[in-house]
Amino acid sequence: MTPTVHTVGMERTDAPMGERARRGRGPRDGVGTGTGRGRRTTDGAGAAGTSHRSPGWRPLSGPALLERLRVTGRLRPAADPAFTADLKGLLESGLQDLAELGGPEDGGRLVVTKDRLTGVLACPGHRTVDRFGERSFTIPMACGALVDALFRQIVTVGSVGDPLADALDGLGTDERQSGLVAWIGGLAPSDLAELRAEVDRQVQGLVSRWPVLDPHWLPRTQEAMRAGLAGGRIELSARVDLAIGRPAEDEGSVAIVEVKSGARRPAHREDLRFYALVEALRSPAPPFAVATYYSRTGEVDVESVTHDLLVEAARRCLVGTRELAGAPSGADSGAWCSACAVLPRSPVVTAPPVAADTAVVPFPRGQAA
Amino acid sequence: MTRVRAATAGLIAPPVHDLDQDAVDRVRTRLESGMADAATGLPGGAPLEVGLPLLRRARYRPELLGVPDEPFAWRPAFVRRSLGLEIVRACRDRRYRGPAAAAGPVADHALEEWRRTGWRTFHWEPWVAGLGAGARSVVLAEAVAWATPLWATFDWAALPGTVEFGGPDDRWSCPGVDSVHLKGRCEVRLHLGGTRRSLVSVASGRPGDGWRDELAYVALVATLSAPDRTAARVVGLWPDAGFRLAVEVDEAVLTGAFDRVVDAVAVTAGVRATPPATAVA
Repeated sequence: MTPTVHTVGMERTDAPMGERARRGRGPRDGVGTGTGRGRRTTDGAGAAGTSHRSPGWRPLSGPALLERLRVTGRLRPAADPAFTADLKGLLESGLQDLAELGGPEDGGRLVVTKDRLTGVLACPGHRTVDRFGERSFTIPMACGALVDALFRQIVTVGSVGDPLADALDGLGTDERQSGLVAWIGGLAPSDLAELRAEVDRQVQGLVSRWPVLDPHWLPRTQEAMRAGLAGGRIELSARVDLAIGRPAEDEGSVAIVEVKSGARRPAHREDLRFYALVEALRSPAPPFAVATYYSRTGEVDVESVTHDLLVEAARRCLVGTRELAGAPSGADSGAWCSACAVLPRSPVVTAPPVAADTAVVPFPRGQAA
Repeated sequence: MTRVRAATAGLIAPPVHDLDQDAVDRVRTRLESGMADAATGLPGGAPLEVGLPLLRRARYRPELLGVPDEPFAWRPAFVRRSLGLEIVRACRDRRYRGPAAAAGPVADHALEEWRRTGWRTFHWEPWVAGLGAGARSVVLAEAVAWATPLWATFDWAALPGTVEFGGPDDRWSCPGVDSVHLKGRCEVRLHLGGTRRSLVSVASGRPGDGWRDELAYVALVATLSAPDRTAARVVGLWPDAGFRLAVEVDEAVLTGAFDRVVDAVAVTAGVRATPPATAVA
């Protein structure tokens, strides 16, 4: 039984890993536990896609950042085989009519990833990726890949030398990144300088703010997660930037963190929920928290994992998977577009989608960059 | 019972089935006979090395059997298993609090030993030694990610007797059939007492519908290569998908693996004997 704690404020704390943290820790190996009224804890901003930090706001760092991840304000979700079966049943029943799926490159199965879901569920006005999630290279994308590599380095060895050199060195070990590495190498000096400056700035923040993670909590980076559906013909696939906590036994004990180098986007929260869904399907219990850490600003967006969250993620996944399979989903076009979800009204598409699937969309409140 | 306790209890349980020497001999005899027939269509050249990758290709992606292997080049994925096993060993010896703490020191120690003696225990030492900080951190991170689920699956302190991590692959060459070699690999061997062992096999992805034969194959090669230390069971872990499955070994299980091997060799022979299709303009 997890001990009860009372914590999770929105306020910033510089308290060292002291009494609050100890009370918040699980009995053995978990990275967080808590009870009380559940909520999404967002440090540094308001609702998804918005950013209205108070004037005195400063990014969390060290133990305070860790505590924000560890203590969500909710009881950890218990292992609930019946609920997991229902969740899987929801997906299976909605996919049972799909016939042959996937191309040879995926081994004859349809692989569903967060990017593919986001891409296929976006309305035409917000679609920036093709049907299977591939994008063309941009400086923000390069920055994201470099920061991801450096975050992994920081978690693993605790330090960074020359950020750009280290990140390119790390990316160079992955042949799938060879195109991006070559693209960065071909940047004009001014663009490269811009990229370097932004990477330097973000990594400086990561190094100064991220605490050393206790090895007993089993921190691991780029953890692969997979869940099979429809007799293995569909595979939900995720790879998370950071997972902390011993794999679940009788209650959620894992926190998942995704690092983003760009601006806050509503789709980021959908990504996290997709991770929570896959973890819930492959483990006895779902993660107790999923979080996005914004390395550009130091904001952290933590969400407790609940049954409602998982059911919603499953519904979205179901619609997206059917769309990816080319099967009718029954959803209105763009009904699950995460960017539209935060807008007060439907976006006005001022230009039709072009070949590259990019479009100009005015954001009424300018909140989703 | 928690998953860790259940996994540990399943690993150390006494053998479910007897597997005497006569049974092993029967399987070997049948394999030798079946292999001779299946291998007749193999083209000349280097012997065909049968392992789990080939068994999977033959079953699920036979069209890839005719594609030549890429030239070997080191990358982090080729280091993570051996370094990861050394990390788990170090954690079991209580030298570190977890894989994340062990990775750096274990890798450093391997490099120091290589520099001191010139002996490459893991083969990757020169490659890792030449890496920059970024690439080296990827190697360590991959090993930690690989080792962590294995470390978290069992209560290592509760495992009695000798636990072997990694070690040389099991190999067996079929007498009279020079064109085929069998190679088996498991991550952990636990000696149960007597002549029986529990084996642990770790795989990426999700188990396919042939998972039982694949685990049995690990037992088959282990048994053929060391008939005096037969496998009692093989526990398969697919951490990506959260699966732990086991096969209790008996003669029927080994025969099933034998059938899968013979099928794979025959399929491979068929694919390689077929000239590649020529594109028509």
